[in-house]
Amino acid sequence: MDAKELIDRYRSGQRDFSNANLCGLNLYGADLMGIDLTQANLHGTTMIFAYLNRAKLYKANLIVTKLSGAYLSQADLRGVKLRDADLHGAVLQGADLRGADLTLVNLMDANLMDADLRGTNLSGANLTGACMRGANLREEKRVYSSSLRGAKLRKVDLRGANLAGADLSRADLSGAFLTDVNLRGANLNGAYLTDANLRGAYMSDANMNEVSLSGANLTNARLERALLMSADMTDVNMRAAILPDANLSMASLSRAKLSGARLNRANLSRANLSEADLSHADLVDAYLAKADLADANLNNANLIRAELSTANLIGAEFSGATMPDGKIND
Amino acid sequence: MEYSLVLQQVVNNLERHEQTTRIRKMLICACKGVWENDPNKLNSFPVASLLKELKRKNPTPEELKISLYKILNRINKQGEYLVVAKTIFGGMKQLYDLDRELTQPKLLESEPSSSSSPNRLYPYPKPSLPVAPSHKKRIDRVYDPFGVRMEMMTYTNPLRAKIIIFSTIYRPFNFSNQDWLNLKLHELDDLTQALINNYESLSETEQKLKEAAQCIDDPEENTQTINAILQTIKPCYQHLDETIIAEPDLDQTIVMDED
Repeated sequence: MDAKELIDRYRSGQRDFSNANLCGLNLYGADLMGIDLTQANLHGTTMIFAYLNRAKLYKANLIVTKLSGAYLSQADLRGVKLRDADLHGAVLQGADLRGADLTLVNLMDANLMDADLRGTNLSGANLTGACMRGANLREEKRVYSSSLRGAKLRKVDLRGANLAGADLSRADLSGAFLTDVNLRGANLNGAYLTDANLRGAYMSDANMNEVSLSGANLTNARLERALLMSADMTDVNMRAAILPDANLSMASLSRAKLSGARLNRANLSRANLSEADLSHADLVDAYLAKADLADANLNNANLIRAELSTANLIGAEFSGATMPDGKIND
Repeated sequence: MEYSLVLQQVVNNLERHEQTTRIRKMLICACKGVWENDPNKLNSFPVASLLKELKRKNPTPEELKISLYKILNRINKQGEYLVVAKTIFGGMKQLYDLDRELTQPKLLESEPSSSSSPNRLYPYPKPSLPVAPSHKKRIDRVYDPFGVRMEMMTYTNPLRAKIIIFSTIYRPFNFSNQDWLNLKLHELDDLTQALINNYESLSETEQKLKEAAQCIDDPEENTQTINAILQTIKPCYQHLDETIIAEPDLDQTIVMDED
């Protein structure tokens, strides 16, 4: 079937093109709203600016397709193969992409608001500037765990998105808008979150070892039991963040703003906390063996039973602080 | 950290940058209003003094952005200098951020429950420098790149918006493979900001967008997109209209970069 025949048949009312072989066709700007292309072969097809709203593309072959600017809102894209496809600036609002293979796909500046991305493979995908507000990437049992391994998510808008359990290891999320995002149990190992806005983010039990968080805003974020070993958190803003039982050993936290943070039972051994602001922080039972607290502000902090015996305290301020033995400093 | 230390860090980064010559050219242009191609003269200006002067002339990051875009709009190698402008802005941003920290009282985001005396809630010294005029604060509050981008994406096709804005601020998009690649070098966010900063009024922007769209197929779709763009950026313009500060303008002719 060639492009003309397809469009003519669509115009005459046919909608069912399931299992059709349409590879390599040029369907630039074609109006094919609601078309049924279930399991169709569209390998290498050009569908730039095509209208595919509410199209059924279940398990279709869309490898290396050109879908820049295509309208795919509310389309059924479950299980599609989109490897290496170009979806630059495409509209995928409310689309169902569960289990889709989006490896190395280009989704730069795409609209993915409220899209269902559970169980998708986005490894190595480019999502720079994409709007993913309200997108669902939650891990569901083992079958549906999203992989964003090494994905480019710079300046992405993921406000309020659900990324619980997702694999974001080595992903670039620098400057991303991640307020109130759910990253519980997510794998962010080695991810790049410099200057990201993670205000109020929910990151309990997340694996964030070796993550780059310098300059990021984590005000009021929840990070219970999070693994942050050897993380670069220089100049991070973590005012009033919740970090009990977090493992921050060997993390670089110099000049970090941790005032009012809850760090009870946190492991801060060998962490660099020089010039950090820990005023009013809760450090009850915190483990600070060989931590560097030079010139840190610990005024009014609560350090009951904290392990400080091997920490570097040169120049640190403890005015009004409750010390490990329960005494309150003048 | 002390201001002078941060300034030194920014200076070091700019001086060691692979584009350091272009950085100097742009800094000199932003401060002195001349485009300098003579290597001897370029190196005669200490970067630290240029940064201080730039900040004095542009008291807020938004004003700096406008100044840099104005220069960008008048030089021939816009792609190359966009990267340079971003580098300068990135460095200057650190100085603005530090300024804000040092000059404004900081309340804790959430008051810790164990607070004993009220004055201990303020771990930073009270401001000794005058607080920025109120209109400057309004810019930060109103301009929200993520909000603008989301609204634009809600009401129109992001790719069509990019093509029209690209054609407006650079040159007509010709749908060649090279132009598709060029378009991928610009994020919607950056193009939108450049558009906002390029023209003095919303009506001028509207006119330029319409002129550019004439070279692109599908007039109906283009009109829909232009309306959505204008609707989305309207609040930012109202803002700029109120706040633009008159500055000695460069000659309106294109400046030729000779390297």
